[in-house]
Amino acid sequence: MTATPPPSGRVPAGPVTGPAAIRTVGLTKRYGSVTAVDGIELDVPPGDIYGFLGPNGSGKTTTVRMLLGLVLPTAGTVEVLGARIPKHARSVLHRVGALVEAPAAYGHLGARANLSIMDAAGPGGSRRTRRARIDQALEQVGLAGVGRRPVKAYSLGMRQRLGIAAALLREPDLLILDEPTNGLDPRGIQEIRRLLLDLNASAGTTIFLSSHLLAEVEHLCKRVGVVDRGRLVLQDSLAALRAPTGSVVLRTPDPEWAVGVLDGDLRERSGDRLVVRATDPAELNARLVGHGIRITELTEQRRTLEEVVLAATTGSSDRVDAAVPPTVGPRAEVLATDDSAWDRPPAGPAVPLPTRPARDTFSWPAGRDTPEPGPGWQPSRSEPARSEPARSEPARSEPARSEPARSEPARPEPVRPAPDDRRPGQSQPGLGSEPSRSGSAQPPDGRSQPGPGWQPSPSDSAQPPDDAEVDPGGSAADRAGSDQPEARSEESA
Amino acid sequence: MIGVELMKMLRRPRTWVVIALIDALPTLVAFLLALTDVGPRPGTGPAFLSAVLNNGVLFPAAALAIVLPLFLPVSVAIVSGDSIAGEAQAGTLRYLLARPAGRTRLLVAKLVTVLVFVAMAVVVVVVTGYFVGTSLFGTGQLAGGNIVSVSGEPLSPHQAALRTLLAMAYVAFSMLGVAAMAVFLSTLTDSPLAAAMGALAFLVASSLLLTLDAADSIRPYLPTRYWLAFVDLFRQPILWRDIVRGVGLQSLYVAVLLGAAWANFSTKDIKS
Repeated sequence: MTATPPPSGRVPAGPVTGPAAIRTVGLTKRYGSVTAVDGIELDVPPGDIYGFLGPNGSGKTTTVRMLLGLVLPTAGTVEVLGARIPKHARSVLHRVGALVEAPAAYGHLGARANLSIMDAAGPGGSRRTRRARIDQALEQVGLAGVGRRPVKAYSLGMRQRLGIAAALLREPDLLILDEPTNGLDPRGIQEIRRLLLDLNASAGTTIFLSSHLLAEVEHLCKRVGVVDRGRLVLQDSLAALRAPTGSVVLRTPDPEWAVGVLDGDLRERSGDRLVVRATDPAELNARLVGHGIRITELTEQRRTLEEVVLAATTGSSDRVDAAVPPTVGPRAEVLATDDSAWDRPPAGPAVPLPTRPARDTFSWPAGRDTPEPGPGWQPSRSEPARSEPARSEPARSEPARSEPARSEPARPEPVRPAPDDRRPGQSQPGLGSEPSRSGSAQPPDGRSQPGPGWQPSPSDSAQPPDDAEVDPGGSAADRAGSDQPEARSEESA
Repeated sequence: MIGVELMKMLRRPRTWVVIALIDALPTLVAFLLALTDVGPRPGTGPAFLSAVLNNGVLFPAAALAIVLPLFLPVSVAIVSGDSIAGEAQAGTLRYLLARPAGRTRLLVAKLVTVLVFVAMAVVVVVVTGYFVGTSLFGTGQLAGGNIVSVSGEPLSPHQAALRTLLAMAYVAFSMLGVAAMAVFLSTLTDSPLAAAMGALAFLVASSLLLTLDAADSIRPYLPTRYWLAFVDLFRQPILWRDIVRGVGLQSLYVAVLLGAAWANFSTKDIKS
């Protein structure tokens, strides 16, 4: 982490043997008094698939732009494939394929002309192999038969595919992709995911994936970094983040009996669904079956990436007594503290508001909606806030922000909602991040209503390993709408 | 990079539409003159037009004088204003720079493209002007092929051709001030329209101040002050004074504005 930067300039080719694919040290960007990115320390080893997560306006895109030399850092350094950016951008960026925010192309030209122009516009794209490379890239993204139709006639999904093709054109060692599956339907998402995994496995391509789609990241990435309000609050391997919580989720047609048998181990119950404290699911199963209790479903509970991210981005604290519900007083106080309030736990006075003096001087990056700590945010937020270990809280108050956060989330502490009829593992899409995106559009109880941005793990995310294969696309399919059939028919035309 | 940018410009339908429109105005004027045979009285109207009825060889110069005050600057402003801001608006700027095209390289390529566009526009105007002029008005057989210069002395066809070439160069050079202004504004904004309009406002302000007696002291420094000095190329002998000043003044504007454009663009955060 703290190794001295390798000599900048040209580096030996080959991502796996080279230096870190991406390394930033104290990366900071200020726009006037607004700190968009605050001391981010990214560390992406070669060959990794890295998921870069965070709410909108948290500094993700600014960070990506600094990686590509588009935005110049106020402080700190960026190294991509061992070369300093932006100083040595020319020697290294041609080995990086990028998709930033949205694809862009010259509307009056066709796909091949666009790719040809982009390829000719910089170093590293041999003219001799250009035609073959363009054909290959279009083939890879499923646009091989697109012909000479101008890009302005393309559907959203086709443009997205073209953008990915442009990123793949020079067989890059590093792919920096911002929402690569935006606008694609489930099949398209799966195609692209397979393509990325394939590139990573066969060519050792490092992939840096910035996304809102948690399911997407969950399926693809080996490591994740979570950024919240310009700070990297978490950076760890997905496996460590998703360690078992020490609970088992089960369903039984005989819940009453089961409750009696389980006695003190019962953590939560909603209908026929029970959450039980148990380290060994097999043992628990045997015990219940031994009592003649029928089991329809039994799964080891793991934190979903969503829970991890929501916990990391809300600044929740486990120092607040779980029995104390949010009272009116502190909530009113929270509401009164405008934008800096929303990541404070809306709990009782025990919440250490003054522990983050820096928050007061922090203002939202331009364009970010002022979060609305409305009713849709409060009630469900409060439960994880009370029972979650403090993840981002210590991280914020210390200079090396990402360090403490990194080690903590592996702690197998489950999300523990209050014992009402809420399901504990139920992901709450949009709650943590949604206020910044859609504000009051969120219904009062948003748990059953995934917001447009933070895609939940498909179906019941309490058992993510099970449903991992079931629905590859998640609700992105709904957003893509009827795009793909159109794209399909056009491709075959 | 320069080749890429040139290809982009040449493959844009807009480029050719603009050039066709620039060309249409002098052609229309020529037809009207030929049909009615009513020229403006000497000393009025666009330069050379009164002489054109006698000798079509002068029509290229007249065509330049027709497009110079407005049509040419508007088209140059549109193309130059589009240079960076157009890419920003289309979203392609970030991909070009992440490619990496290099900011200075991209800016230079854009400037060369603008230069080529100006040259193309001027050449097209002069060439069509020559064909339209000679076919509609003849080549002045009465004067033995010679044409009458602005100062009354005769010019041989050879001299006339040479001076028309010089005039083309001067007119094209005069456009560089506008181009530099539009390119500079183009690096400031993500709206190509705003950049083009800003550059035009700069020109309109200059033209307005030229007519104002109270602005007498700054008149020599106004960018449009010496634009029409290309007429002096058709005097016998050539009156170089204003032409030299015009070139010097335009060079100054171009240097300052392009310097500002470069300084801004090379340190700009690309957020488009």
